[in-house]
Amino acid sequence: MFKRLRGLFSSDLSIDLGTANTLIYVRGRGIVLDEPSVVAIRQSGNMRSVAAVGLDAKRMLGRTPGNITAIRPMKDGVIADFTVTEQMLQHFIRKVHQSTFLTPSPRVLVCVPCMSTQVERRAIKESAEGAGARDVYLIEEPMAAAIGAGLPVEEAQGSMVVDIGGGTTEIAIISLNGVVYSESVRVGGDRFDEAITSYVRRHYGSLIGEATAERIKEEVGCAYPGGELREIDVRGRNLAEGIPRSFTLNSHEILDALQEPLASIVAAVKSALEQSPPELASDIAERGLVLTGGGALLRDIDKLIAEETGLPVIIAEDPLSCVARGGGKALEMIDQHTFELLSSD
Amino acid sequence: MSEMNEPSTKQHDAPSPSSETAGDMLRSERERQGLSLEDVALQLNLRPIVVTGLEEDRFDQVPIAAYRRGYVRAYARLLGIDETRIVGAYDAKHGRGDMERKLAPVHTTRPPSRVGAWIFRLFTLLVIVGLISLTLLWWQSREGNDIFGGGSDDSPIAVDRLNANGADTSAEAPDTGNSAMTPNTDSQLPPLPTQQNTPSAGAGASTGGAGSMDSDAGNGTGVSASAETTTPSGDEHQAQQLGSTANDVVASSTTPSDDEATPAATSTNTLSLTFNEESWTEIYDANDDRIFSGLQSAGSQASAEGDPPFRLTIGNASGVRLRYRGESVDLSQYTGGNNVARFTLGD
Repeated sequence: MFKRLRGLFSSDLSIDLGTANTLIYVRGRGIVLDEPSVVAIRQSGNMRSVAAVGLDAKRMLGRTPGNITAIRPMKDGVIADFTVTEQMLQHFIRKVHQSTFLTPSPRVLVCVPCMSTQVERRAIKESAEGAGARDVYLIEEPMAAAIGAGLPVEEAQGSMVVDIGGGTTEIAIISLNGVVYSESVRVGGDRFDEAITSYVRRHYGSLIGEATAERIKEEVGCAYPGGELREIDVRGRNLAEGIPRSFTLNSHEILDALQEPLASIVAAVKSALEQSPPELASDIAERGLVLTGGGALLRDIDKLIAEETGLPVIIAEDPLSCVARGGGKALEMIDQHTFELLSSD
Repeated sequence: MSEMNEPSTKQHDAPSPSSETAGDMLRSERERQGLSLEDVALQLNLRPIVVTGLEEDRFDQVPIAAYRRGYVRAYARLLGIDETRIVGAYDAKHGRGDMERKLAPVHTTRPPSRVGAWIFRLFTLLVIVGLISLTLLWWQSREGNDIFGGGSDDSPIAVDRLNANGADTSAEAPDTGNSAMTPNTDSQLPPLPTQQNTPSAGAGASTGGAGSMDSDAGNGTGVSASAETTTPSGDEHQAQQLGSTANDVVASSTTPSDDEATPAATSTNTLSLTFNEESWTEIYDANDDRIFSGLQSAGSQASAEGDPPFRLTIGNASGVRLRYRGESVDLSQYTGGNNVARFTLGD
């Protein structure tokens, strides 16, 4: 009852609760928050308190003293640490509501990986409720991504979306507002970073952190040979000498490092195409597939998939925010009772 | 390629930051790099006609806006041009409006008129309710009849009761059907009356009824009356002989269990009925008591007694003969169109 009253002062939100980044779309205002899904927890005695959330916490990642731990509460697209996720969501929801007079109690649409289990979905739902949401709706990520990319999801035509996120890659074939086939592989931006870290350790005998690996991926990473050769200077701790050393990496090396995770993404895309009904496969062959998510920003990943599948490949505009924007569009339809996009539980 | 310049030059008037259209930029860059249309189509995995369309800013091959923009950007990236410039030029010409597509639920076919369907449903419901209530009404009215009928049980027993309560007369004795049965069931019975009854049959029975009337008037004892009725054609001797077992005869000829057919005071107001055909008959006396009712089988006889006037309802009246106070009553004058006679008899 009181929640309902507070709901009058809150705006509906669409949250893309990703492994790497959390984006919040507010109805009528667009994307208002885009921060890393990182929480820094300060431990003093038995008291655990949140030291920082989002961008501030990400800067602490790997650089924390003993009493602070920087956590990424999401792993592989699902909740790994329930309470921390709840606190993070609470923080973000308060942040997008400027009014400090009342605790916000918005209706929230949260995106979930399509292959997530009932338990994982329930966890996401409950953590959003714990963060103060009045009602929680769930939508499958590739569906939101397709809506965000502007694909004609409600038509009787097949659209294929490949959403390469931080923790998972979601592949879905969508027609008539429903997912015809979906496939989820737990390979994403994080696995790229790990692959780079282990490549550097193997070939340079040096240890680099997550943040450095991510920077390497963003600056010189590429998915297909033949592009422009780029180089980057990196500093890491040399395992043999034990002292920090500087070395140079180029895009060819990173391409080599990324071979394995890229191969699993390509295999998943191919398998989805194999599984799709022939009519929809012909639609997809005609128009191509759409890449969304942060992974789509990896240089030449569209060329790789186009080469491997022989289909036209499009990178969605602003691929990082596709899911949140799609969720926002779905949010506008929430009041229609016949709306079938939302997944049950 | 010269013919391609025709449509694109027209676009120069369009308000665009870089006076060139996206298609122009793409084509000039492709030509500068010395790529053929087919090369580009092969690398983008698009049909050449679509690529031609992109260069001419014609998108009839690509009806969906998201894919148009996607192809333009993919083409730009392939050629290594800054895609924001190309997309800016594209937006200047086509606008971003098509990107802001609203999400719609899947179009579902609905029956042409919801109201009509509801009216039809309501109407059907009303008809069903009406039918049910009519059935109930009919059942209740039938039940009402049955409640009275149930009180007096089945028709033959109703007749028995009449005999038991209403005293004497014994019109059952000449009932040939019953008496024909008795010899088998009741062995101690003297064979005489049955033997007599058997030949007497229909006409004899009716005279027996008349005899009973006379004897009632004369003797006033039910026993002798029944004895007389059973022996209308027999001699006095047999009648005397029968007199001793008269009670038994009456009882056994009607119901074997009913032994105490007590002879009661006589009354002249006796109705006797002979059924040649099956008939439903109901008789009420002056006190509105039902003194007789039931479905009578063909060939049976019955009598009833009470205070006049009587209200009679005789179904299948043409097959029934009625005697009142020993006189035959012409039913045809009371008979309605459906062969049912409804009338009042007596004063």
